[in-house]
Amino acid sequence: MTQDPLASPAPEPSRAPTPTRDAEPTYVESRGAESLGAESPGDNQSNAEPLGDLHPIDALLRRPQQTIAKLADADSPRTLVTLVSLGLAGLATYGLVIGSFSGGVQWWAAPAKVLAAAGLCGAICFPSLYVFVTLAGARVRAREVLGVVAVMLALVAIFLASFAPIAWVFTQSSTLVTFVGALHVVVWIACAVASRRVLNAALKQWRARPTGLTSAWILILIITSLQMTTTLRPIVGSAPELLDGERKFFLAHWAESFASDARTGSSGDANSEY
Amino acid sequence: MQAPGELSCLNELCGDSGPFAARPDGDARRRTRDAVLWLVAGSSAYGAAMGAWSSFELSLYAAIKLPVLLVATAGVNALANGVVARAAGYRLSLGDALRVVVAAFALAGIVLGSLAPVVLLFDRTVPAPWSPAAWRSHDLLGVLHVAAIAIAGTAAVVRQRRWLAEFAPRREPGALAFAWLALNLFVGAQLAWNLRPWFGSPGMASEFLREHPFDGTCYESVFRLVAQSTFDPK
Repeated sequence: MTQDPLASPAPEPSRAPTPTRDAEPTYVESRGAESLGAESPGDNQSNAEPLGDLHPIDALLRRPQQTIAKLADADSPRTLVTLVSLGLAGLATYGLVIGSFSGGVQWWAAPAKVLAAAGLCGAICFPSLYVFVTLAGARVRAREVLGVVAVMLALVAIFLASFAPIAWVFTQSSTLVTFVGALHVVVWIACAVASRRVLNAALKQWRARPTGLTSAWILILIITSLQMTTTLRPIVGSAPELLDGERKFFLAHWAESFASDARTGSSGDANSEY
Repeated sequence: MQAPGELSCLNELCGDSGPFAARPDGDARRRTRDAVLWLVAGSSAYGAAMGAWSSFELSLYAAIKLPVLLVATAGVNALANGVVARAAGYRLSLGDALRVVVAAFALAGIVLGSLAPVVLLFDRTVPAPWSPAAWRSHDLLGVLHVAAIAIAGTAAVVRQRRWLAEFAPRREPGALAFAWLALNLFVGAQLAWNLRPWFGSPGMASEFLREHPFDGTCYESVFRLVAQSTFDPK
């Protein structure tokens, strides 16, 4: 692929290995890079390990900027396949945990709906992300922004998969659809917010500045995903139909579900599907 | 600075350098044409999504009316905007002022167009206009449109300030941008009122314009609403 000098990252200077007591080469780790809240994981790119040395999951978590850079080089198809595979696996894993609450048809329907929701939200929010990063000063092609959406979804999927055991414990213990549903919503929002580090890294790479618009985009993504999951309900509970055809705003649906659970204290019935 | 080929127009509008900076090689006519095309494309997409809650017809009508609203607002305000700019000390011709306003509207149209898929999702998934919960959807969509227009308007005004700064680097462009914003909001709100319906109201037909589109103003309507609720709450 021909790279636009404005859109492509500057070549990453590699760090010389630092000898240790056992004479094994190691690399200096940037302080705080593992922190979820790290503002710009790519801040210390010059301290980074060589691109090929990190496992894809490790690279996504610790050096999202490297993964974004890989999408722009000749190896991009392989990177994209890796990202998509990670995304599918992570989302399907979390979907299985969600489906385990009701069992039955939800064993396959919940993972399928989680995957569909993530993909559709990415597609729906992509145009606004493209325009917003352009307004932030990035001069990029649409496919590069699409790549960042893929990286974000893959990172969200990894976060979700890592929370899957915790969610499973509560899913198996709770009898209230609304409690389990709220838990999944909180986990999803936390993962989406944490994936903002990818967007920050991309903006840095594109020599753009983070603006209020890029923060607003995360909010748009979250609101879109909440409406999408409401549209694809039931995902947590069960219902006679695979899809409840009734059109509802997500807040109205939540209010009705909470009221229903408060009245009956029931779990997973058709009146309180989430 | 050369933008990636396929998106040079968009990058020119959204980028820092601005589309109408006083450049010796400035091709103002081409840039104006590009801005108008983006304005029409973006705002049509948003208009179509806006009207899609009610019916296909209203979606089509709103796709036509929203670009008309923006162009008409710029046109009606052109003279006043130009005069205000001169009064504020900017050496902008009427054409320059109009081009900067149109470019800002185009930018707002692009942002709105990029939000059209999100609006369309809500249109198709909240209760329909013929359902019992239609008014709740109506109010929700109203809030959604206000939020989208606020995002687009803010992005456009912020960018417009930068463009104005290019024309007169020694002046603070905030005052002129604010004056233009006030004028455009004042006139735009009225024209939007005249061009109703936008996303429809439960129980009302999907039509291109209301029966008497020039009967009354939005400000009179707000005044009546406030007066009625204050002095005659029954």
